[in-house]
Amino acid sequence: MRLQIILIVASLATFIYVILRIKKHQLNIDDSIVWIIWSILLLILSVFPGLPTYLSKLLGFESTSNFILTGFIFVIYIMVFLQNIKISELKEKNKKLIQRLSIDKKKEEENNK
Amino acid sequence: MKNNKKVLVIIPAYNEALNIEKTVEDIRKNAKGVDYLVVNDGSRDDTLDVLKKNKYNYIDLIQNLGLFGAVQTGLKYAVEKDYDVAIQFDGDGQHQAKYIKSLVDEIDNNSIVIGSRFVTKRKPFTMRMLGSRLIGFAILLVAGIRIKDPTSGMRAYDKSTMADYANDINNPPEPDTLAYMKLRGKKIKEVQVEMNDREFGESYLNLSHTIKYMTRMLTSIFFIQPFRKRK
Repeated sequence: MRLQIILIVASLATFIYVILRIKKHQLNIDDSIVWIIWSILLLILSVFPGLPTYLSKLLGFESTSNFILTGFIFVIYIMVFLQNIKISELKEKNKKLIQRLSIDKKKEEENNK
Repeated sequence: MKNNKKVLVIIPAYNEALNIEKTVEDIRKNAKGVDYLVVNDGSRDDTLDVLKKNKYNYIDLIQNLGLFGAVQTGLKYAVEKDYDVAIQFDGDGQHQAKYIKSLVDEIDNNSIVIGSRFVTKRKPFTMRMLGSRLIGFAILLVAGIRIKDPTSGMRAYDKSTMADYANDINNPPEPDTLAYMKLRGKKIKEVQVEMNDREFGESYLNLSHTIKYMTRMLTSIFFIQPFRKRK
């Protein structure tokens, strides 16, 4: 029961933390959606502990904690990979900007000759 | 030069203040009729001053981009200025301008022409060439073409290939993309050239860099290039 309360408090805190960051303009809404859904999911799991137990049995895990850990790590993997894609995109855009600016600077100098 | 093709020699330069004059003068003297463009990749030494002082033709990147980004900038410029042939040429004095003509001569019938050290000469059995052999073998397995000097940084691209290299996010001017270009049906040819050893500055060839480079090349040739889109 105590663990359950801790989990509920933790998921609520996550939720509030994300909202506060958005309010302070540190995170845009698009990027925050996934974190909000994640904190709501955490809240549901901690309010209804029977749910993960049921799912874990259904999928054949030996214990619920194994199921939870595996699930969480999987989610983190996906998040990291998605971030990696974002970083690649940003790098590419950044590179294009630098190239465009540098080439344009060069062309301007040519035209001024 | 033959058929009045517009040729641009692209020279990426990162901290090459000591070598760049020699490289450009070599091109001016021994490769008449071609244009050149130095791409200063955010050098922290006096490269830019040397370029300005000599009134060389150059692009000054506002941020350091690395070799790939620097060469690509030159290629983009070549595409926009409607050049027929673009040649990648090292700024560190390793490449010799007198061979530019032989690369240009072959571009009529090929998409990519590589200035190769080992067309008529045998490749020595040194540690350094072991990497070259491995990469060459990987390209042979995947793309079915024997490239004797895959790591050569002296290459000529025709107009359409130039655009591929200029615009694709995953076409660094490295050996792995040769496999991809071959798989797409582009013709690749090697011509014999000689190369000098570096005179000034250090090269990237230390152990950790070599391992990183080889891992990147082999993974890319075996697991990425065969699965890329071949429009």
